[in-house]
Amino acid sequence: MIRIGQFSTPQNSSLYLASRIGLHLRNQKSESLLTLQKRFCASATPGIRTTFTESLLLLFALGKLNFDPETDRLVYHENP
Amino acid sequence: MKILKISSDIPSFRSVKFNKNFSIVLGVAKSRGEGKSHNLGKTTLIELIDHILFGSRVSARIKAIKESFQNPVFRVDLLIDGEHRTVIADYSKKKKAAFSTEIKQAYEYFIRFQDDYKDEFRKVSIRGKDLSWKPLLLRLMGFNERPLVEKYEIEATIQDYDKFIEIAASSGMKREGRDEEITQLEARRNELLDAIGNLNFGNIEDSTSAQLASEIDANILSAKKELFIQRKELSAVTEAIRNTAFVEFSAERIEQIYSDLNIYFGDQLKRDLSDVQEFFIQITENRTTALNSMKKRILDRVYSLEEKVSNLNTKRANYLQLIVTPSSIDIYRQLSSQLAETETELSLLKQDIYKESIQTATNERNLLRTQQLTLAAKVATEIDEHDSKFREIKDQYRQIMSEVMDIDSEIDIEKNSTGNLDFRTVSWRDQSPSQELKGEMAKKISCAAFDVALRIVNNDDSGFIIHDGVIDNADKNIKKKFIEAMKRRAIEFDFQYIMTAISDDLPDSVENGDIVITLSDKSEKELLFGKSF
Repeated sequence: MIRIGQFSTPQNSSLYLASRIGLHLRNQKSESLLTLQKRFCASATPGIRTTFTESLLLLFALGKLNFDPETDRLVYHENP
Repeated sequence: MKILKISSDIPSFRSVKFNKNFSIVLGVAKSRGEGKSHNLGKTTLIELIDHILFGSRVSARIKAIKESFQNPVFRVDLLIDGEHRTVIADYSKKKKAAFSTEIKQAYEYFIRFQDDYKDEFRKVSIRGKDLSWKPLLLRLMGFNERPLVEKYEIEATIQDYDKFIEIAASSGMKREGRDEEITQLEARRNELLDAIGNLNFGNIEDSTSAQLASEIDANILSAKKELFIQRKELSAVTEAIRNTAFVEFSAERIEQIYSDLNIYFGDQLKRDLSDVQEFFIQITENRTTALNSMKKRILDRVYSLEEKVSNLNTKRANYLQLIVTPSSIDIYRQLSSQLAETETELSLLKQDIYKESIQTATNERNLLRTQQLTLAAKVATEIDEHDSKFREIKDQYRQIMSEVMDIDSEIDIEKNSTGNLDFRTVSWRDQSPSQELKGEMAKKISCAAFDVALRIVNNDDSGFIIHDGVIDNADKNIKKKFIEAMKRRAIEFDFQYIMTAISDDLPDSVENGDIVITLSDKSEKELLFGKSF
């Protein structure tokens, strides 16, 4: 689950990772999912992959990004 | 929940009032013969209901409706626990399902479309792995599905660990005493560089050639660098294609995450759960096309680079021939290839990608394996010991099958050695298994019988069940028996049975009141939407 509170660390908190990914995407406007995966979840243990996926779901649910499966690109929206 | 009526603000739409227990949506074609009873709106009606109540996928038909009519509004009147409730679907606004996922899942087996009669248990609409449907089926059959869900989740994690360990092992991190190795390799590299430096290039006659050769060296170096990057990219893409899903969440897990998000963000959330689920599927499973084209592009680039490098190499060899003695060339070749190898090994060693050690991962995985076995045993116990509801379902199924098709058949849950479950139906004739359920018609009836048996046992909400085209193509006798069997059960157990049928060969036992709407293409007026589109 999304962790926050006394046991959350920057490594396991999806909120934290989501904000990092969000900032990165805002600077890049759009980025391929593959690149994002390499940058934020390359050294993936299962735990980190879970956090990574959760952060994507979080950003998507907030309306901050869209995904185009044809080109494998995530596109960032500042004000959805 | 029963459906009382569906209507729309589209003036030409033909409202349909459903009976309390048994309704037939009838299609009549202008002329007899194959392929004539289509596009009347039978399936569209059911897709509309499915879409409005449970927010199912937007099918081609729903899309066509949205495109052909301006912002249509539909009303579905329902009877829930004795009270009336109206669901209004306004297509000008954002789509939102009227009922929660829980109820949607409970109705998974109570709406079947024409292409859903191939398998009793795995419907066409169910995509994805076992996790997405077997637990649900167990729950509907009256078992506690928790152990199975946990087992699947643990198995997915074990797989993740396996992959992780494999990758970690192959990238050489199992070696210990790395620092020492790095020092050794660095010493080796320096030796090689010295050796190359000391080569006897004494016979240099043409300084221009030497310069040209070193320019080519620079080109080769940059080409090789790019080649290296592209190859890494290629392996990343290949890896991504191979592991289609880099993490597996169950639908429940996503729902849980979503409800957590609701706590943190509340109104800030802009998308609803179904969108998020769709997105999850897209980013985990549906990426193959994009990745494949990416792979092709990279491959092309790699080939052209390789060709370039080999061309340059030939050129350089030609130039070098001019400036060094033959024996030096051989030595240079040897040394440079050794140097390249050493460099590669060094850079691999220095890359500290994997922070966790394989040992920890292996231990955790073994722990999970033990848990997996415990859970497999739990699943088996659950199925053996709490099967009162399941026995009832089996009983109802058997009765319907013998009544309609005269086939002695039963539903069976098979547990294999790894604790996986297989659902199947078996038919018997003269005390040995028979092939009777393999036939298309028998399979259709079997699917319907299974749904109805489930409905009878799970009928706390006096709900509905819809079968689209279940007895099309059946012979008259089967049609008669099937309709009688369904009608009697619908009244006896108080559920609402709705089916679509074509008018050919309908048995006499069908009363006029049973037919709630007759759709026909004799004139546009008689189509569901009052016009064709």
